[in-house]
Amino acid sequence: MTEYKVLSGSDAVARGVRLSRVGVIAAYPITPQTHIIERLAERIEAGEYNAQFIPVESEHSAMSAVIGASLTGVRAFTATASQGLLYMIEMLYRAAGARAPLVLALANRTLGPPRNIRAERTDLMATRDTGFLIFFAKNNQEALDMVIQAYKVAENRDVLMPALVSLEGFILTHTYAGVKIPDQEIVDEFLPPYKPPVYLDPKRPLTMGNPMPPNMHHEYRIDFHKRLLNAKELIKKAAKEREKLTGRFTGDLIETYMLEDADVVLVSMGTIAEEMEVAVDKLREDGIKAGSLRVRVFRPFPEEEIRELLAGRKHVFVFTRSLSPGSVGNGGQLAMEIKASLYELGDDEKPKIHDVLVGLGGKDVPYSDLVKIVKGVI
Amino acid sequence: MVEFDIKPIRVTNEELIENRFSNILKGNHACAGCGGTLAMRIISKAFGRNVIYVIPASCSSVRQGFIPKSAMACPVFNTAFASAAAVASGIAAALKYQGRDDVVPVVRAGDGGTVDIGLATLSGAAERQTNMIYVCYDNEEYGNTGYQRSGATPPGARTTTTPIKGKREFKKPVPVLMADHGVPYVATASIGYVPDMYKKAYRARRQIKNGFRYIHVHFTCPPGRGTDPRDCVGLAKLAVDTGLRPLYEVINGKRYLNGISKKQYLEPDKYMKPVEEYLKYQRRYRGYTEEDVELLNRYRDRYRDLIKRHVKYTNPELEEI
Amino acid sequence: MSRIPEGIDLEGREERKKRVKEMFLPRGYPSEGVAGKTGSRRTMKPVIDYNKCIGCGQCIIHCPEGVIDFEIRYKELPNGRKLKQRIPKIDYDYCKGCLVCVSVCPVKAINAEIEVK
Repeated sequence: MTEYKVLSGSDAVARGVRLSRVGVIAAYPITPQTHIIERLAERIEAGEYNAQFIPVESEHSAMSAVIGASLTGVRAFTATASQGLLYMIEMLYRAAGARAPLVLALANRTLGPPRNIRAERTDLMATRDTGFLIFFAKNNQEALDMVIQAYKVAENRDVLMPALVSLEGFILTHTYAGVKIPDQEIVDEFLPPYKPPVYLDPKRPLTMGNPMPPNMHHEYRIDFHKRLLNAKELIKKAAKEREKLTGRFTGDLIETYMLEDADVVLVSMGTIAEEMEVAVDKLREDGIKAGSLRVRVFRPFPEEEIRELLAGRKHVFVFTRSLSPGSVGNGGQLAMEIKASLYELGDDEKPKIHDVLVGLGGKDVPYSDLVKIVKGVI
Repeated sequence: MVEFDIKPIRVTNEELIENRFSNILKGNHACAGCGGTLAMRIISKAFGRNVIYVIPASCSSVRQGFIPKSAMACPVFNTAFASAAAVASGIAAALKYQGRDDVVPVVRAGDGGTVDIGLATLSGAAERQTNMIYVCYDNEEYGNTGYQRSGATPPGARTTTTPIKGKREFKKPVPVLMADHGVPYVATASIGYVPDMYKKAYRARRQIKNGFRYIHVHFTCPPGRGTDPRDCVGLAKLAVDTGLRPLYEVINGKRYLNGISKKQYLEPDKYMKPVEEYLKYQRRYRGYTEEDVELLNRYRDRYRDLIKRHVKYTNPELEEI
Repeated sequence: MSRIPEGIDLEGREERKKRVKEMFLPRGYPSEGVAGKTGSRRTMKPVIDYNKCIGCGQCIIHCPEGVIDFEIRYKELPNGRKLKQRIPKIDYDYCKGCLVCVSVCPVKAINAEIEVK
C-alpha cells in the first residue's frame, strides 16, 4: 500500500535515498542542502537505516569519498549546493572518468558574491560538460522518484555514469507538499542491488585510472557521449517499467501540457514549469493557444524529441533561470540548447525563439509574470 | 584510546629476502635508483595482499604505465591531488558496509600531496579515525613536475622554484602534527634503514588493527637531488645520521625513538654527524653558505624540541620497541 | 623478485578482462614490463664477483626494482660432498643500472662495468 506523507523536498530526497538502499553517504553541510543530510544522518544514528555516514571536511572530499565507495562496489550518495558544487567540480569529472555510478543531489543556489542563498541554476550549468546525467525535479514527489530513477539508469552497464538530481533550493527543499512514498518491495524490484562489473578487490587486482595513451583517450572521451545518448532510451524504458510496477507514471525525458494544438509554447525546467502550466491555462482563457514543454532530463539532452514537438509552432518562449554572461542571445543556457536543437528544421517549420531570463538570484517567478511576458511579445 | 598488543619486532635480513611479495612489478616507468620504488616494495611486503591502494597525482601514478596494463599487482585507484585520504575514507566506509574487515585502504601519496595540497583531507581523515593507513613518500620536492619547492623541502635547498638563494623556510613537521591528532600510530622511516622501515609498516598493518595509521618515509630522488643514483640509500642514511630526519614512532601517544636517533637524543655530541657531510653530496646544496648550514642546524634543533615535547610521556630509558 | 602475488582469483580473469574492454572501463591489469625491457636504459652494468660474494643479501633487499634474487647452487667439494650455496642473480632484462647494489655491498663484490650493447 502506498504511503502518503507531507514532506519537504529535502525529506523527499532523503526518503528516495533510503528507499534506494544507499550504503555510503558523505556530505558537507551547505544551505539549502543541509536538511537532506541531516535526515539521513539522523536515521543512520537512530539505527533505522543501515548505511555508513562520513562527515567529511569539505565538498571536494565528499565527492572523493563517494567515488571511493562506489568503486568498492557500494551504492553511494552525496548532496551539495552552489559554492560547494564548484569546490567539488574537479571530482565530478573524475567520477565520470572513473565511471562511478553515484548520485549527487544538488539544491540549486545562487553563486556569490554578492552573497545570496536563494535558488538560481547557474551552479548546475557548471556541470553541463562533466559527463553526469542531469535530472531536474519540479516538485517534491518528483525529487523522491528521481533519486530512484537516477540510480536505475546510472548503474545500467550500457551507461555506468554518475547522475545528478537537481532541485531548486528553498522553493523545493524547504517547502512541504504531499508525497506518495512507494513501498520498499516495489522499489527493490525496480532497483536491484548494485553489482558493478569490476570493483576494488585484492583477490582480483586491477588499476583504475592509470595513464591512457592519447589515441585511446580520444576514443574513450567519445564513448562518454555515446553512453549518455544510450541513456535516453533507458530512461524511457525505466519509466515504463516503473509504471507497470506502481501504476504511476513518474516521467521520462520531457513532460508536455496542452501542447497538441498550441501555437505558443512555453519551455522551462524545474519549478518554473509548474507555474507555466497555470500560465498556459490563463493564456488559453484569453484566447491564446498556448502549451508548455518541460525539459526533465537536461543531460542527455532530448534533442530529437524537442525538435519533433516544436516543429511548426509560431512562438517558443524559453524561460531560463541561469545566465552565461557574454554568450549568444540573452545568455540563457537552456535557450541555447533549444536553438541548437531546432537548427536542422526547415525555414517554414522554425518557430521564433524568445530567450527569456527569469528569477535570477532567486527572484520569484509567479505565473502572472509569465503571462505578462508572453502577452507583451505577441 | 584503544590499547593494542604491541610487541617488539625484530626484523632479520632473512625475512626481507624470503618475503618475495611485492606490489610493484619490475619493468615499470620509475627512474633508475628511485628510492620511492624501493620504499614501496619493502612496505608492500609488510602490508601483504589485502590492501586497496589510493594514489593521488605523483610519480607513482605515472610509473604504473599505460592502460590496459599496470605495474601494480594490487587494486589501485588513481585519484586527484587533494582527495586521496577522502577517497580512502569512502573505501573504508564501503568495506565496513560490506563486512570486508580483512581489507584496509592504503594511501600512497608524495610529500606535495600530503603536506601541501592534501593536508586538509589528511587531517580530516585522521580526525574521523578512519580505518586506513596513510604512507607519505617524502622526497622533499615536487619530483614529478620537475623538482619544485614543496612544504617538505628542507631549508637551504635549491629547487627549480628557489634556484638561487635556496629555500629560506623550515620544513613542515607533519609527523608531529599527525601525532597531535591523537591517532594510534605515527612513524617516520627512511630507506637508509630498511629493516626499521619494514618493522614500522608491519606494525601499522598487523599489530595496530584499526584506526588511522600514518607513516612518513624519507627517501632520496636522484634526479631531484642531483646525485648519483647509486647513492640513493647511503644519502638517506646520512640524513638520519646527521639528525635531520630522526626516526621515531608514536604509539598511542607515547613516543619511541629508534636506533641511531635514540642515541643522538641521549648523546648528541657523540652520535650527531655534522650536516655538511649530508650536504656535500647533493647538487641541490651546491655552493651552500655558512648561513645555510646555520639555518639547517636551527631547523634540526627545532625538530628535536618538537620531539622532546612528546618524549616526556614515555619511559625515560627510551626503550627500544 | 617481483611476482604477481599468490592467491589471486584467476578464475574468470579473461572473461572479466573482456567485459572491461567491451564496457571501455579505464582499468589496467597487473603486468611485468609495462615500460618494456627496462634493461635497455642501462649505461652501467652491475656484475657480481661470486668469488667475493658472501651471500648476505643486502643487494636483494636494497634493489629498488626488485630484480635480484637468490639462486640455489650446489658446489662440489674436494671430498665429493655437495655444498648448498645461494648466490644472487641479477635479471638484466629489467635492471635499470642504478648501481645501488654496488654501493650497499659490504664486501665490494659487485663491480660497475660500462654497458656494451
